[in-house]
Amino acid sequence: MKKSLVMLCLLLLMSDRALGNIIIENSWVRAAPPKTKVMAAYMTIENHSLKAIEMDIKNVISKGFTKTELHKSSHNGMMTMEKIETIIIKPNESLILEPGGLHFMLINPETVPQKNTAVEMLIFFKNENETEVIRIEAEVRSQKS
Amino acid sequence: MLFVIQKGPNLIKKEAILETGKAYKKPLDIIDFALKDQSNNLYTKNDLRNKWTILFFGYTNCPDVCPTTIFKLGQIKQQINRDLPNINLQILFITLDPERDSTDRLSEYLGFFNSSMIGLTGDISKIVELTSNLSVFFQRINKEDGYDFNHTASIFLMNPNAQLKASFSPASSIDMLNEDIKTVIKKSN
Repeated sequence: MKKSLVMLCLLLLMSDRALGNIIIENSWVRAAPPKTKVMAAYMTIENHSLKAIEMDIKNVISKGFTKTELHKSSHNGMMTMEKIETIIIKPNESLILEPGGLHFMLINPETVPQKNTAVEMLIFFKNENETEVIRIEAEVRSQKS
Repeated sequence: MLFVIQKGPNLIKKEAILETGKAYKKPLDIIDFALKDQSNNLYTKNDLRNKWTILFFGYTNCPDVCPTTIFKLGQIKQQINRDLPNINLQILFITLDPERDSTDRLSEYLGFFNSSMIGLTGDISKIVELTSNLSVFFQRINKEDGYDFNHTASIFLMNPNAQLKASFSPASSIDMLNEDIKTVIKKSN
């Protein structure tokens, strides 16, 4: 309930996609069949500021899902998936979330979103005493080559 | 937590010709197996004969790597069909999670991602026999809201005699995998 209220207030206040010096581009959610319990979201997050920023992973919200986590798939003989608790983006660097690597895991959808719709996400960042939030609409689609 | 540990085959002669994996000079026989496909039909080792087969293990609750591998292999199949039109190639997805991956679930999942692929499920003991034979390791990781698997995600290439001919890394690019798989098939024909 608290998260929903925070999201509602922020949505009323914010413009789409970019605030300050953080830009999120190419966001998409992999389309999935009905009854799917977990989906993956991908994007590029660019830090154009002169300060390092930390993603406030625990507060990330994906509308229509009960929980959002950041995970990393790795392949070193074994395919493993690790939950990431902390991630920092250095000044003028980008964080790339892509298939087979870092991705948001969107857990327990109320209903599985259809292709050509969008999932609304709020992604929180912080540096020193400041906090920023970016709202994105990640397109639900198939993987492209 | 379930641990399944297997001992790999020894003294295998490998052909060092590939960027993305390894091919065996002498293809390896595999055990007989009997599983169910997504249409609930029996699928056995015999169904590997007279065609090339790309085979991989995964589970449908995997949000990232398994759909990515399905996407890659779908692209590769299209390219091989175009470049080697006389080759009959099928793709098999074998679940490591038969508890959740029923034939109905596989039908729904592959119907969404790639309906030309064959999905196999069955009794966990039968699946473990096959993973053991192919030196595939998997480990169930329990979480507060379910479970995932860490697993060997190698892509296997079976020849038309139902023998293991090559294996590849799933992290390789589509183009590199495509070239290597075509190289193995062309050298074997």
